[in-house]
Amino acid sequence: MRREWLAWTTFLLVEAAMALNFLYAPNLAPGEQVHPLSQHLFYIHVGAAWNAAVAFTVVFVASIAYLRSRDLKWDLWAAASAEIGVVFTAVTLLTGTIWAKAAWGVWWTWDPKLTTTLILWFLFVAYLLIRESVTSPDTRAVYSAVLGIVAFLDVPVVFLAARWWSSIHPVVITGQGFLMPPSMVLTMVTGFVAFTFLYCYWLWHRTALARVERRLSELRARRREDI
Amino acid sequence: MLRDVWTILRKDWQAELRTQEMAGSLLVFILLIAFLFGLTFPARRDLVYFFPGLVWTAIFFAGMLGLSRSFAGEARSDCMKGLALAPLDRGAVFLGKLASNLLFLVATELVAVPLFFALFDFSPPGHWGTLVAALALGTLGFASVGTLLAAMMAGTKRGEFLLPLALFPLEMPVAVGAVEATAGALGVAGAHAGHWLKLLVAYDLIFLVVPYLLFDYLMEVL
Repeated sequence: MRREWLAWTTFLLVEAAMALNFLYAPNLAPGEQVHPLSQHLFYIHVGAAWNAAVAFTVVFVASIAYLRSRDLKWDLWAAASAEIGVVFTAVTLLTGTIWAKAAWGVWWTWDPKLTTTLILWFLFVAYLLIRESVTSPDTRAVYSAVLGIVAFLDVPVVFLAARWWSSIHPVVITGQGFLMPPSMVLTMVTGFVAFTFLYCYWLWHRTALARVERRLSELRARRREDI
Repeated sequence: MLRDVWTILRKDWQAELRTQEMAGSLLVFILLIAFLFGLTFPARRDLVYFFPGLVWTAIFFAGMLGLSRSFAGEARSDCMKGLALAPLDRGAVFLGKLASNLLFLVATELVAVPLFFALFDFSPPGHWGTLVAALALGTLGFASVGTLLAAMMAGTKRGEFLLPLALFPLEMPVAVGAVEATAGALGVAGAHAGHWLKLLVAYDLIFLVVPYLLFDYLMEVL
């Protein structure tokens, strides 16, 4: 019942965010000379980036919780959140590169934010690949927790390194703060909320699926013993 | 504690001296990669901009090979269980393995760095101290996270393939910091060695303490 509520709220919010994005928000941000359609990527980009950060923070917290409690529940939460985080990071990177090509004329720059996001994506793809290659649930949980913690702690250092590095290398674009009209702010905030609900909904779904998967493998193991 | 670290280090070196599993192949690998770079990057005047990156790429690749072997022996004959049961502090096991990996890397660098200088016809830099500091701090950062991950990967399928996938993104600050500090030591314009050495020190401190603490949990399931 509660899941249906969450599903419907998420659905309506995502629809609302899409409608605002494509029908209401202006095609051009004030003072920007970008291809008109690329502006619409902004709302998806920001929402995905924010929730990728949320997702990886959840991985970190759940990893610590697992090492403290040894409750496999936390491992499932961490793994589910990491999967969603990788998807959101991929969306962030893809929308970002397309927008960058339209706005800055290049697909990629070594801006600190871009570099950090890319490294984050690599780290958690590795996290998922390593999970896949360990069969014992307890070993997998400990490996994942250790990786989740180390990867999360690495991020601030990566950001710092990238910022120093890009400050002595040519940067295509620097600080471009723009003031947003109310229509853009409303669209962006709705996008934020919609993406956050989407994250929660996926997380709920994914952990439920993971519990079923675990139960299935337990049943299979028992059946093998019976035979 | 220190004696325990020394015990692990001595064990690894005795095993290596008897089998000579690593030293020979690593040496050949380093020679080969140096010649490969020599052939593919023709010596030019502006090579100084690429040189630090080439040296560190070679060190990282050779180090990766060394790391992936460092726990292979333990995994093969189920020695991890022995180490876990041994009356040693588990942190000491980590530090001992780290020390033996560091020794390997330093030995590799003692061959690789002069070789690169000779092959690319570089005169030794003016700032010796800075170069040594960059090498030492970069190596420590690489080895500490590397030892933690290598211990993990020894027990997984495809471990030798997965190790670089996890390790290289984690080492990004070390890679950038070590390359820039080395560039500073070589007098490349615009490179501030002092800045980057500080970053390396910070990274090394964080990633010496965190793996040391986490290794305890890892030992339980290895």
